[in-house]
Formats: sequence, C-alpha cells, structure tokens
Amino acid sequence: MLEKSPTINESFGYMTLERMGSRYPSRLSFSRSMLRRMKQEKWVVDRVKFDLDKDGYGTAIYEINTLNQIYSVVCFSQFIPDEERSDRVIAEKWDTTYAMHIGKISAKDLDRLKKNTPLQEAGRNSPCELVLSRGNKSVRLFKKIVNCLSIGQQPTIEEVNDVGYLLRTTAVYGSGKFGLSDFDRTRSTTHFDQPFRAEMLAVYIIREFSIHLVEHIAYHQNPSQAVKLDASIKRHIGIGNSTGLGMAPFIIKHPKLIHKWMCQFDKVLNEIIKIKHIDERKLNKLSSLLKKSKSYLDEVLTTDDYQKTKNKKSFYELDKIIDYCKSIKTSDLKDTRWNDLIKYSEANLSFDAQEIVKVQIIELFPEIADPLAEDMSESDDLFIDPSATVNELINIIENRYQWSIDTDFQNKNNTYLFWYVSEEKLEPRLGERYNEPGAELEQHLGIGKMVSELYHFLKENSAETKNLTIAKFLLIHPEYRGIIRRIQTLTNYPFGEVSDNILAKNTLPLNMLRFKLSFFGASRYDPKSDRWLRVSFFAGAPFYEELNSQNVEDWGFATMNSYQ
Amino acid sequence: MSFSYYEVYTTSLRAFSSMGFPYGADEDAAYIIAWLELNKFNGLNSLVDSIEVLDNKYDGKIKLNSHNDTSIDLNYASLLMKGPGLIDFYQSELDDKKDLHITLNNCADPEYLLPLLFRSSKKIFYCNALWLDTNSLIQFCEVKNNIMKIGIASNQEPINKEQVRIYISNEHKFQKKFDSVTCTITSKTIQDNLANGISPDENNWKIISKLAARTFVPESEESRIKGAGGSDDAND
Repeated sequence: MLEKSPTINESFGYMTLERMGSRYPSRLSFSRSMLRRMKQEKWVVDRVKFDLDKDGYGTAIYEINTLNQIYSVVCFSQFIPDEERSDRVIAEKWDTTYAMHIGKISAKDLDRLKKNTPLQEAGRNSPCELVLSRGNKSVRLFKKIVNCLSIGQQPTIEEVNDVGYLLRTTAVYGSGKFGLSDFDRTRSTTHFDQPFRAEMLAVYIIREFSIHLVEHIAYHQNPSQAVKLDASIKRHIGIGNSTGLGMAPFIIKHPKLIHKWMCQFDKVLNEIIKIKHIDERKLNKLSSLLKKSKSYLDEVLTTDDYQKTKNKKSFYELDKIIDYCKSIKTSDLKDTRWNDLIKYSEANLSFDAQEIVKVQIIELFPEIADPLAEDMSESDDLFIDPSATVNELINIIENRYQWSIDTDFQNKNNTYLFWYVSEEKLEPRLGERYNEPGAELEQHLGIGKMVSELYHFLKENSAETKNLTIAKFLLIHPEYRGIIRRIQTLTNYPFGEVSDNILAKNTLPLNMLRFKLSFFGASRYDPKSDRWLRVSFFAGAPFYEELNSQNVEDWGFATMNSYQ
Repeated sequence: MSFSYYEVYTTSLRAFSSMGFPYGADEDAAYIIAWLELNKFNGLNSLVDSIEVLDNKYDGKIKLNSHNDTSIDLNYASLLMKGPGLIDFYQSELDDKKDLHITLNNCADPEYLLPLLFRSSKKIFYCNALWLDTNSLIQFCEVKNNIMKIGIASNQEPINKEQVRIYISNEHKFQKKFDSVTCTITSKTIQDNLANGISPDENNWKIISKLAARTFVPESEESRIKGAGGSDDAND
C-alpha cells in the first residue's frame, strides 16, 4: 500500500484548480531530471546526418549514445505556406516533424519514417519509435535571427526574450499513440523508465536542431559573412510548445500517476521541514534564487491579463519573503526551520508566490529531491475492493469527496460544461451542455457529479443494501463499477483527485494544463485563451556541447542576465 | 499494420462505450479484448462476432439464487458484461474460505475468462478453469503468480457443453494435469508481444474503429471555433 503521509499541503486543499494553476517547475520536473540523467550517465549526442538544402529543407538525424543503447531522433524539415501553419491538433502540415527511434536508423527505417512522420496522426509508427512530434517556426524570430546571423550580427537578447524560441512544438506524442511503443514496454526495456523522459529528450534534441537549422540557413544566405549564435544569446532560446485541452483529461484519467507526482513533491518538502535548523549558506542561496525568480517574473512576457496580474502580484510578494529571510539573524538560525519560511509564505503570499518559495527551497536540497525525481512512475491500474461494504464506501465518500457532496448538481451552472472528443482529428474539446449538441457523448470526466449521484443513490437505499458487500451491490448495479473502483482505489492516493467540479461554468481549464506542464518543467506561461497556452521548455538550459556538472542544474527561472 | 496495446485498448473502450456499456464496464470489457488481442487470442475477432448481441443490449446484472451461489446460469449472456462482476463476487466470497468451486452454465464465451483470471491472480493465490471447446476437447487454464498456462487436459471429471468450471483458492494449488500446454503467458511474453506490436485483422479493425467513432462529436464550425478555444493563426 502506498504511504499516506501527513502532509503540509493536503490540509490546504492542494488539488483545487486554483492551486493546481499556480504551480512552477522544480528539480522534480521531467526536463530537469532528464538532463541530470544525461549528464550523470554521460550520454553522447552525435549529429550523424544533416542533409538540408540552402533553405533548410531536408532530413537530419541525431544519435544519442547512452550506456548500452543508441536512440535516434530524425528531423524532417519542409516548406509550408503561411496559411497552412496552425498550432492546433487539426493542422495537417508542419514546418518540421520528428520521430525518436530505438537504435540507429537504417536506410529502410528512414524510408518508412520519411513516409509516415510528416503525416503525424495520419501516419503509422512501429513499436521501435518512442516519440512522435512536430514543430512550427516562430516566423518573426526565426526570420529575424537568420537575417542577423547572415550579415554577421547577433540578435539582441531582448529580441530573443520577446518570443523565447525558434521552433514551437504543437504535440509531443509517446506511450502507444499512433503505434508508438507502449509505456509498459518503454519503461521495461529502455532508459526511459520515468514518465515523459523520452519525450523530454526528444524536445531537448529538437531545441538543438532549431539552432542548427537557423545557423544553416543563415550560412547559405551569405556564406562569407554569416556567423553562429553567441552562446549567451543561444542559451536563452528554449523550445516553444502550444498546449490545449488534451492535458486536462490526462489528469483525470491517470489519478494514481498524478498522486505520485504530488506525493514525491510533498515528500521532499516533508523531509526538508524535518531539518532542525537553517544553514546560513543555504539561506543566502535561497535569497539569491528568490531574487532570480523576481527577475524572471519581470521579464517574462504574456498578453493575457489574468497571467500578467498573477505574475505582477508574485513579483511584489516575493519581496516579503526576501525581507523575511533577511530578518533572520545569524544567531536565530539554529532556532529557525525551513518550515517557518513555508508557513510564513502560506500566511502572507498568493498561491503562485508560495509555490515559487517551495520550488526554490527544494532547489537547495538535491540530495533529497533528486532520488525522488527518479521515482515518478506509477501503474494506472484501479481495483475494486469487493469485500468492503456499501456503508464503508459511504464513509469514504463523506471523508474524501465532501466538495462533491456539497455541490448542487441541480444547478445548471454546475453541469454547464461537457468534455468531448471531436471527430475532427479527435481533438479534445469542451462544450456548453445547454447551448451545443453532443453532450450525450461526453467523456467520463465529471468525477464530482458521478460521485454525488452515487452518494445520494446509496444514502437512499435500505439498511440491508448498505450492509451488502461492494461485490454483491455491483451484481445488482453494475452501472456504478467505474466510479466505485475509482473511489476505492484512490482512498490511498490523496492527491489523485482534482478537488473541484470541472463541469462548472467557471472552470478554468488552464489551471489543469499548468499543473501538468509544471511537472514537465515548462516555463514562460503565456495563455492565449482559457483553453490553451504557449510555454517554453529548456529556456536557459545548457546545450549539449556546453553541458557540464556546474550548469546542468542552474537554469530554472532563467533570465536575460543569467549567462554573464 | 501494427498497433499498440494502448490503441487496441482505447479503440475497444470507445467501441464498448458506443454500444452502451456504462463507465467501468466499458473499461473491463476493453481490457478483456485488448489482453486477448495482445496475447494472440484474436480478441477483436471475438468482439466483432459478438456485436449483434452486445450493441445497445448491455446487461451486467446478475441475480443470485442464494446469497453465496456457486452455480450460475448465464443464459448465454456474454462474459464481457457479466464476467467482471462475477469474478469480483467470487473473490469476495473467498475471504472466509480456503477455496471455491464455481460452475457457470450456458456460457457462450468462456475464453473471456482468461484475462479476468489473469488479472485476478494479483489478488487470488491460484485459479483454474476448464470448458469444452468446439472440438469437444477440454480446454484448461491455470494462473498463479501472474503466470498463466493454457492447454488441453482430457483426464478430468465430465463436463457439459457450454459449461465452465472454475476453481479459485487462496491457499494451495489444486492439481490437474495438462495433456499439453499450448500457451504460457508471463510478463516476458507480454513484453515480447508489446515489442512486436499488435496486428489485428484489417477488417475487424475497421469495424471496431467505426463503432468507436460513434463516441466522437460530429464536426461543426461552432465546435471548431469554440471547442478548443484555439486560433488557427499561428504565424507569429
């Protein structure tokens, strides 16, 4: 059974949508742990093919040599007209497409991938492929940098900061999608035993490719004068990502996995708060990290008013905790615990700023966090406990789903939304139940509503029924199998359930997107509506050629002066 | 064409949902089909053959004659509907017993027990099942510690047509002898099959995909604009 630790977070309703939407990347994030593993195990990246024409169209292959296995990322670059460039799932053409393959790519494999990878969802992959992805150019920054480099100049870091990336992925598929290797197999037989690690490696390589691509085009535009990007400018370039509603169903459909991620984060903090006094050197480091976070918040750009307000608020609030750190006298350090800082931030700062404080404290304790970052996987299996009684189930619901019992689902505002899959390229979408067709085809994501319906049904039953075992109850009422299985399993997974009604009219899906993206390690949140946003990965991270034990961990909250 | 387990499971899940299987029952049924397909028992073919008796005819209820009935008349209703509940029930009945002998009468599709018994071996120490196949040979399977053996076992007590005998035990292995083991399923064979991908019959795949497509909301301009909240313009 999974341990149910008493947590500092649980008591604050940590899985409400508002809190989920306030999260930031940490040492536990998948991009961070992937790069750490790459450095520790001395993976070697070789560009073994770079067959692009002067305009940058063609094929490139990067091989990643790990201890005992080679993986290859194949990149296809093609011309597409501006009017066909779209970030949405329903797009059918992309500037660049990618596949990550187990082993070297043979001529036969390359031929097969060349036919299929550019088609993305419409193509087929084999179990030897781990990742399928695509990316579009940021037209304005891409052209600008090509032009600068081709005449021997560098773009300014401010110009880079305005956009943040040259290529923007619009999907990074893995885990059995479109014929790719199932995660059960990936986890058992490759280096990628942690969730989304293979995807993060592919994204990191795509970032490398984006630089090689822009430098290649600049060179062919003007071979005599063209220069390469300066290292200090280059590092600020991340890889963009457009993300939509698909991430929200993932969170509901993988509750044990979500619990695991949160549980590991919580474990790190709980280990840290056990430390009996604060070390001065670490306190100074924290102050410096908090100041860096402030600079990040000052520099990060978004057009979204809601996000701007959140960023601005956190920016000013961080001064409070920085001042609080300053106020701790050296003589008081032995009587001060890290928990005092966390408690201060919980009492005085917004959720966003609290999260920044926590992830920066975690930054100080690699010996606690890093091993847990290597244990982020969890089986998705849910099990019915057939011997439990209906009365016991009622008790669980009353203890764990009070938020659902308290929601009035007769009120149309609480059933306003429905989540569905469109027949148009199976794009995940959100509809308005009382204004749009299709609600009868909604996905089973309204957990609160299902729990509430079950609870009221059970309460209305006779004492005899309430004494039945779940197994006997389900023989009579098999229609409740799914929700009962979920409730029973998640008894031991307190972070597994979003503690809010995601069918409510005022639901902000972005909150769920941000939650998942924070565990991926995304930064520069830039919402474009209430349902999709753009982010960056690996902004500030060292490129492969400069990766070393000093810089592998210092790139969180990267700012324009991080590279001096 | 090769598919992943994820694709077979997800497409089956949608197909069952489209046929009226409720949440939870659809997951169990999809698991049964995907497990059979992964382990080369033609799960999708069986599903295609059963569509007529399943589509909009879901009935997972089971009426017991007595509170601890160990003989059930399935009346030819598919184990895709009744099987998961039955296994849960007998697992709970095993709590205060060493073992249980169960008889299913008028069972139309005993092969659907294979994935259910395999899954239950995470909770039940040992189980086996036997039934007559279409050639009147006694098919026998046993599961222990996540290893399933399937084969022929002729030297058994008489069994009726369309009858399944199940034995589950929390304490000891009930000895029966195989004449021949035709298949052994372990975590290694499962990994091997995942590595090779699943190649279902193309026609069956089309039929199941068509059923699955009934769960998708039809395209409309409104849905395209509002549903994902996205802009089609990405030239920035």
